Amino acid sequence: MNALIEQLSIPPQVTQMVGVVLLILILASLIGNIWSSVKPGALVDEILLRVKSWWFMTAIFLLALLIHPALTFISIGTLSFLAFRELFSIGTFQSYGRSAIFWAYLSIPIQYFFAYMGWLHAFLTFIPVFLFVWMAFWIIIQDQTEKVVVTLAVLPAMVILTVYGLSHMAFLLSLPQIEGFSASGKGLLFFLVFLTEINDVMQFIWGKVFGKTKILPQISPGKTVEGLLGGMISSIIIGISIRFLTPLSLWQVMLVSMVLSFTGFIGDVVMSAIKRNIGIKDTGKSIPGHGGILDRIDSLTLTSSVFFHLLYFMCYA
Amino acid sequence: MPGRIFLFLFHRFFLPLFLRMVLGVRFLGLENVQKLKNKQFFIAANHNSHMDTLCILSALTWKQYLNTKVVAAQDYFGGKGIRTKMISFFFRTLLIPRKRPENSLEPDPIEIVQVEIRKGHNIVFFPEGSRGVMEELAPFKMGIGYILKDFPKLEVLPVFADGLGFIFPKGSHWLLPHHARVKFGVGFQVDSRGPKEIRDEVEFRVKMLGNWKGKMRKTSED
Repeated sequence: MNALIEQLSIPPQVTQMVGVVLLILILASLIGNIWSSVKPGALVDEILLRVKSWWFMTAIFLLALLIHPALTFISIGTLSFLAFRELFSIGTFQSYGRSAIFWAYLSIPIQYFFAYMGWLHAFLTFIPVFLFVWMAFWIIIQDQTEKVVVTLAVLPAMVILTVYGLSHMAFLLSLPQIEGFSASGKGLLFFLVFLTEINDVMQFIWGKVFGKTKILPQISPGKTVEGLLGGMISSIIIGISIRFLTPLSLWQVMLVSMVLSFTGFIGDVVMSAIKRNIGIKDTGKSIPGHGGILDRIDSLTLTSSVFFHLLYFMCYA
Repeated sequence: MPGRIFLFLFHRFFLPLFLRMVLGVRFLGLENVQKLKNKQFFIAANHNSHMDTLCILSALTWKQYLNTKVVAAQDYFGGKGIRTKMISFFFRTLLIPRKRPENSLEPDPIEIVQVEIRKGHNIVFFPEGSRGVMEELAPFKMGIGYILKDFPKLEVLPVFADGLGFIFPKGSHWLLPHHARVKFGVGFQVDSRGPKEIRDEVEFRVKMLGNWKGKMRKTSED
């Protein structure tokens, strides 16, 4: 086992973290099963289904993270692709700007190639500068004004959410080495994904147990002040306890965790608002109990880039 | 023989991978067609995109695929170039003229299809006659009624494709991945119905297949 870990060059902090995650999942499955045998109901069935999907997603995440760095980039790129496809499918302009959408699809491998090579400047500018000019060109040469405002505005937003934002997860692996910090990009990626997802779960639990004051009843009736604050406090505590995955100091990790918690909330609600506007409940059916891929990674679309740049500013600049 | 290998790779590997993973097509009710095994069938489907043909062919078993002909318009898919050859090789096309003949010298499209059915081939047929407007079901033409009235015991399968028109619509050069669903209905026999009744029955069944909860929206206008 140790030889295998050495072969895959997994930092010991990450191995520890894998243990923690597996422990949490085992606990969740245990509690869920006991609960369902004591007091069966629809809620516990849904939670059990979600936990089952969590097992599945964790397995994929760990395989993608641990086997080979190139596989990590390909996996996150695929995630971007699936998320963009989902967003395009629920959109309302399938017959407009098709050429521009084609280039948006094609930008995914290019963006992840820049991340893989570690070319930070190309990575940061490719989409907001070059791709957007290129897409605008393809939209205007159709010589049509119908829906042009929507395509010009919505397409870049879709790309920012699903490609630009998520690709920052991949660039974490290309960050340079820092002296005295050995968990490497794998640790950082683990920190980001774990904290974002556990924050979602914590906000959900706090909201279910103590939630009274609705924040945004129009967009998301389930979101409460208690859930948001409880999630934030839990995130800060959890962030501190997994600080060994990052090069951050105690104060920095508290700040980063708090910002991530709030950003995750925004990402979650942005996606909910889009869904309400279009008139659907879930963005897809890919993950049983969760809905589509976007329903699961809605918070990650915003937290990845925010985390990356906070971290870069604090430790790499 | 090398042609066969290409065909096999195309049907068993390229098509499923490309349609499901890249484009995002989901298949429902596949067992309705695959359980027919060696039994002959006639598929009637709505038509929005060239992808319709690919999806239906991909849903068949290898044996069924080899024995299947897709009815296509001569004026569109006919010709002499390599493109026509490739299309007829992979898409298994059976070319027919769009119009019924004006004199006895011209070929009758109805008869061409009927001859193939008598030979034992499975048929894929698009009763709308054209891809029409994006993601809208056009009224079915009478052709299907005339073809099927001579085959009261032939298994007729309704198929409804939903969303494929967004992947590759008529008049667009850009193939875009987009969620879509292809639903295979339960087979039925036309028995002793007349041509018009057959057409109405098939149209009704295809329409019903398309009427399920959570369907993609009809058009992009909203």
